[in-house]
Amino acid sequence: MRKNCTETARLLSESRDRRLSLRERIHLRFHMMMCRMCSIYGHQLTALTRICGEASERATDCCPGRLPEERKARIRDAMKD
Amino acid sequence: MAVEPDNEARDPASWVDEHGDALFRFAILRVHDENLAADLVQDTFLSALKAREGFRGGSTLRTWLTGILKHKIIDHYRKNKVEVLESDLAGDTPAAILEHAPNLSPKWDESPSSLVENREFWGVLSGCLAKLPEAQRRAFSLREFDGLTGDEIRKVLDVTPTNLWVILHRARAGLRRCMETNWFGNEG
Repeated sequence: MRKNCTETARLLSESRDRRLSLRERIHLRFHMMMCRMCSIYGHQLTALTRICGEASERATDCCPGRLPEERKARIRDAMKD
Repeated sequence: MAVEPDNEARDPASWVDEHGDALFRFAILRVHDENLAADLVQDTFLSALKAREGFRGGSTLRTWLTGILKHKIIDHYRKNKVEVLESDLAGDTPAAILEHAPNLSPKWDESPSSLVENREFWGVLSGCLAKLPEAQRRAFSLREFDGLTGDEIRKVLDVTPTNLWVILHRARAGLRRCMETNWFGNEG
């Protein structure tokens, strides 16, 4: 992987957390036009954000975990005190 | 038995049965430790019980409880700081980012709502989150699950802006790689 790709991967992440400088935006746009690997990487980061948003939204009904019965009993007891 | 929201709030005895599993799932997605998640849920119910006069409806009881739990998790991060490791910040190595070089697997474009309805997918997602170093996982969860801003996250985790951006970059790179290896790039 080239140095430019390392820089691009970093900027692709940081563009989600802060406003990039003009210079950084130009670097990013230019590099993404030329580099298939980095545009796929960017596409996957976007997908990851969408998936995590959905996971967060739906965790309370979709995530397989359950509060163990023994803990539920303890919490009920603690709430009575 | 369905309970009317208003009555439900007045009847804390039913809260644990109605909302215990949901709150536990909310917590386990973020903290990846069953005991800790259960402790946080317990604290949430006890705080909610004391504060229940403050619940005015307007939102559902579930939403109100989840909001309290979210704050409990942030408090937990504040009180139990983790050290930011050298490896959370070390210079990017190509292998660290693009090992299992991205290729265009159409599975990445599957609709997120059908993915999260798949139990196997949850197993892989939790497994990959659990593998992230603690500081990375905390920053990532606050950003991508809870939608906090960079400034808000920095105050919770006590890191500089530059370090936070690097930590988030590492977390995304690590999670992308793990998901590619164990789910999206997998032909099966």
